[in-house]
Amino acid sequence: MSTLLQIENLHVSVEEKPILQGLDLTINEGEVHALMGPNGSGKSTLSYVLAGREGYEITQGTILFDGKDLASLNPEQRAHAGVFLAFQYPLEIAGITNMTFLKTAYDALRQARGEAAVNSADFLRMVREKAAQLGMNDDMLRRQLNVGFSGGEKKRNEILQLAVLDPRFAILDETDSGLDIDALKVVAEGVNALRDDKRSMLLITHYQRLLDFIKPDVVHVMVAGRLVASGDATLALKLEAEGYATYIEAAQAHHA
Amino acid sequence: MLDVQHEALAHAEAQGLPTRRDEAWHYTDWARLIEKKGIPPKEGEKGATPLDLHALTPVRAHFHNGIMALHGTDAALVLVPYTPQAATLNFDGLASYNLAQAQDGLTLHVPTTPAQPLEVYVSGDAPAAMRHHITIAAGAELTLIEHVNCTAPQNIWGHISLAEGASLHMVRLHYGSTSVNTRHIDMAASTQLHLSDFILGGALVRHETHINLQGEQAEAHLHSAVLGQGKNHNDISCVLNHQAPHTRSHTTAHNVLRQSARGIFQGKVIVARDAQHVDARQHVAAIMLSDEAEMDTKPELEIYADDVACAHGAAIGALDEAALFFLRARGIADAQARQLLITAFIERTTATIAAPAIKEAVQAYLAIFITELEDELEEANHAL
Repeated sequence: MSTLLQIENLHVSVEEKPILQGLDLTINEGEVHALMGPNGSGKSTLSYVLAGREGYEITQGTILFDGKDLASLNPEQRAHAGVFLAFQYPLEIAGITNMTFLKTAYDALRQARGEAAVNSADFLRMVREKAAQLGMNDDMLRRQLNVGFSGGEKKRNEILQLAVLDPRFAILDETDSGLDIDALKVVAEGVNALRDDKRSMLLITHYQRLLDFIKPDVVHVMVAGRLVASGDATLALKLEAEGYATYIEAAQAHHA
Repeated sequence: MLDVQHEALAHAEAQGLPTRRDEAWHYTDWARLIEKKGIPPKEGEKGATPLDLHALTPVRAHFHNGIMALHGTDAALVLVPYTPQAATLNFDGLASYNLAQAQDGLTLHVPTTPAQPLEVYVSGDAPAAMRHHITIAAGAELTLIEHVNCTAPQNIWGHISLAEGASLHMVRLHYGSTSVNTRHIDMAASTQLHLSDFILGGALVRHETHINLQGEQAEAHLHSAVLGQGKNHNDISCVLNHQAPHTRSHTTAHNVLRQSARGIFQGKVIVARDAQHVDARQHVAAIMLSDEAEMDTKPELEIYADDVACAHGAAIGALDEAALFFLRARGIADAQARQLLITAFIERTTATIAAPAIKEAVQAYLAIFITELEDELEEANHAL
């Protein structure tokens, strides 16, 4: 099993405030990792750093993706390399339909990879099939991107993009937040259908609940910008029972 | 010259061209700007390549240097030869010059709904004035597409009246040149007006629209899009005069301003004392793509009735960085993501075109126009 993502001693600042402070994380091909931790621990910062958002300054450390330096790539190049971020708060963009957006993104990826363009009819058929698996109808494809979508619909739409764009590595940033149990099941089924021995995932979540439906291979606990514990799926259950308090105290002791 | 034209000329010369001292021209000091950028067009100033809609519009009134040639016919388009007609409207110097100087214009009566849209195409390389008078009979529906694509200043003025139940769908595309383009539109009861207005180029352009909602249930929808670049000065000004109860107006203005372009939006809503239950809404939005660009917006409400719903708002800012990151994170390159967001923003105006075939043609045209504009700027930036 080869390594897909290797993060070593990563320090990241936002507006000169250190957020990530020496993060180490290795994810192999086909593995699903869950990243848990209290609010403000730096989980979303990590997702933005990996996707290449501006304003997140790497002050130390390295991120290798498939052996290449990820930090040297701009956001679109990272997407072309196979990095996908499912947003915690998916954006609404009026004036562009969901379908046009999907086709534009899909074409951009294929073009960047030197692959031939796909005709619109075949693409529509493929998208409809994947949308149906997520309980999304044609109307949701015709509508403007996320405009007027409920919280659950937006999250499903992120998973649709994940399914259509078929990345090697998906980061799901609190995809479970704001979902009721039925919507959570639909989203989890969609994600599980995309698991295979090549694709890796990083699930960022506050709650064990998501992990009842998507079984992670590894669970990490993040506190104050570092991973303070790692283990198998049972770690999440332990956290659910005991909370983060002991880890927070340990982290404070570490910084002191 | 006829007496009416002599009178108008005397009037015009007495009034002079509008200056910033005239309240309605505060942001567009015509007298000064026309000296500065009006005649002749500056070296290198180029307008947009016009949209070709001939396949959809078999009937076309083509004005070249102010003189009309008609192509095609339709039984529901009754044209009579032009004669200068004065109007008892709030005249300024430019409108007086128009009456004095116009040698031709579209004098049109629409008794019933024509089978096809009517296209008015204005081209020219010499300064010209045109003066239109259009009447649309009760219940008739006219679709009018106006293109202005000139290299010399044009003074276009028009009066349109809609009899009860009539409707007018108007799409206007201004590609280049200096011009003032004024419409006075009188709306009887249960009439509908839909204007989708695009300014894509032109050093000094003012689109001035006066709407008089005179009968109950009259409804006016004015939607404009301005794509300003270079040192262009693009002004959308409108007056919505709600004279009758239960009348509605909805005005939106979308501006994308690059380099040192200047966008102006003035929207004045007047609600007469007895005009209860009026619903008047106005929204202005602008994307500023450079620090040198300027947007001036001035909403004005004069409300004399007490049971009305009037709203206005403005949203002016840079391109949405979060949306840009979202698109890039999906693999869409920076330049294409910008084009997509600008096209999506302008789509809010394009979407207001009612006729599907025309809407699609304008959408496709603008997508290419915006892409080429962005690519050109990109190249210019690289050359620096």
